[in-house]
Amino acid sequence: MKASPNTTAGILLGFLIVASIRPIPQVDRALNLLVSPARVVAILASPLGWLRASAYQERNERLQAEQQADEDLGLSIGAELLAEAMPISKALLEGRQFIPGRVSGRVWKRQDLLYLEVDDLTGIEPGFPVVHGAAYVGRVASLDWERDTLLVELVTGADFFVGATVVPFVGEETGFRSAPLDLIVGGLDRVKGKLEHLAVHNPSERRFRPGMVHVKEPNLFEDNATGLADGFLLGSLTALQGEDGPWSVEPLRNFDSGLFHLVVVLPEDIQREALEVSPSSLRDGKWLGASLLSHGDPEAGRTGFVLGKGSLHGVKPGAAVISASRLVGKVDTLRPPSLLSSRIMGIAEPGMTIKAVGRIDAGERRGESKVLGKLVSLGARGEGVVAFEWYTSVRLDGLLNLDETGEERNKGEVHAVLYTGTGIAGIPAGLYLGQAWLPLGSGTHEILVTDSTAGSQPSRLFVRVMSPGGKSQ
Amino acid sequence: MLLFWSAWAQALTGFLASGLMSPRWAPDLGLLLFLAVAARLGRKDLATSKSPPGFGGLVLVTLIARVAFSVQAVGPILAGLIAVLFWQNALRRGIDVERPLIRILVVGVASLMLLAWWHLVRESNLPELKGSTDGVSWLDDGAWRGALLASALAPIVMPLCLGLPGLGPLWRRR
Repeated sequence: MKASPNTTAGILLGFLIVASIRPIPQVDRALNLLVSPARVVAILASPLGWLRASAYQERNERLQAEQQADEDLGLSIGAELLAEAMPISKALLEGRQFIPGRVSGRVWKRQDLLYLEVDDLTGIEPGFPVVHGAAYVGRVASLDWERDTLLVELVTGADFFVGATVVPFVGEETGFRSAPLDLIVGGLDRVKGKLEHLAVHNPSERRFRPGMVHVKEPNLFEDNATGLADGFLLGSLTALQGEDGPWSVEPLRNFDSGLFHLVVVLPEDIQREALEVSPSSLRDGKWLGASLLSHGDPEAGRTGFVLGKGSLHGVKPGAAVISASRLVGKVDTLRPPSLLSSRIMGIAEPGMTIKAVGRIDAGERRGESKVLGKLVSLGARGEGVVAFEWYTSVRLDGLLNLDETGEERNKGEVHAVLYTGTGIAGIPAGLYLGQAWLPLGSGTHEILVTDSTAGSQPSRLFVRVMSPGGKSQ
Repeated sequence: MLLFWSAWAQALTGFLASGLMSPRWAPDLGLLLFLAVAARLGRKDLATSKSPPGFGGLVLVTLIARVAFSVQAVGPILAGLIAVLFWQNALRRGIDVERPLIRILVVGVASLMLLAWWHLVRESNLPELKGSTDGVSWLDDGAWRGALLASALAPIVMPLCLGLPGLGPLWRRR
């Protein structure tokens, strides 16, 4: 029996609905092939672009003029944050050397495993501690020599355990000074809604005492990693459900999205060559010039555009698109680009995720660089203005949430210039995002980023090309 | 020629939405052209075309034109076009969809249907926004106004679409 055209179309419609809600890569690739003439079709309407030529030209010239200053500031923020990731305490420096690296992404569906790019893996072994400043973050799980990348297991992992001891706060009367409080820390103890604390296991005593939790691993057997992590901080011991209830450790870093530069700790006696300074990501030759094919999206509310370079040119999902030194958007991450063109999600596209750093440019904290972590776009709020959802578990001023007075302490704001950080494959650090007033307090905030590229794409664009090995840039 | 006009209709919609008028008010001209041509095709021409372009050809041409200018993926656009076609053809069984008031109804419902469909696709593809406290702008930014304007313009624009140079031979004369 032959199916009627209506039945065939109905079945096709049902299949497409399912494939739209749950993308199937093979289907997307086949459909992309079907519509590859679209690249040529776009040229039919190119006269529309001529109408905007003067506006594009003006915008290009302005961005070019500001490029050097934007780029310099981005580099300077990157250098400061890298310096911030290096331990400075004399006690922590002794007998150790430190290898800095950039977080380039996380393992799919395993948020506790992240990739760290370093310039040279020589001397690094699995088990070596990974830190940020004085804070202990995790340890090296494995090495990928081809890509100069480490896999780092974070202390938040469910199977992660590290020995620790509690050092009471100065002036804190514990009454138990003769017996140190030792415990095991590892995994997450989700308390207070979204704020994530580290879980505490097997304390040596059941009597709570407030203090800072330092790593202190038992010397069960000798290897190169023995004692390397001792003294680094895990956070402060808290008993939010009462002293008899389960304790937890309030971390010093935002493990979810606040890790950009990390440092691997090595024994001092391992021989390594001196590190070279990495060039600015804007000048590493991994950008491909591309022209705009669309001058606005026919679908209401979309802020993306179509670019005249596709998978045939090496464009991959998630690759950053810039104009001068500013982030304009990224290639659609859900579906592969077409052969000759790519769908670009503008930074105002709802759901667009960026990892950001900021330089405070006004007030008492002027000049300080801060890791902000993940920003998720909520959409445009006018010409050049984008609303982002920003969640942070750590206060911007670095103070702990110990007293939790909340309201008053969370009211303060600082003005900052925002740049991209590392941690999202395809988007390099140091690209200008815009400016914003940032709340000091922890929690979920909506921030408005002004002076962004939203709403006015210039025609001279560049798309990031991934290296053949797929190493994120 | 259908591809040429379809490309221009899609590009013009995007152009209007990105500068000349508020994105909330931009009418979907590509949809108006699509429905205007579809209303003239024989109802038995669905999928397998006997008299060019047929519904299959019309959908393919509109799909290619839309994909050239939209960041929406190909699958959702194709599903949206087929669904809209089903809606108009269902009405064609009983009534003349080329009457002005019916055109307003057809275009209004089709525009809202597509709007809801795009939103559903976007939302289901964006795990980052799940649980967001303030929601997303395009859910409540009044994009329905564009749908309203498109349906109001339908009785005027759709006959004009049918009169575009080079499209005459594509459908049967009534």
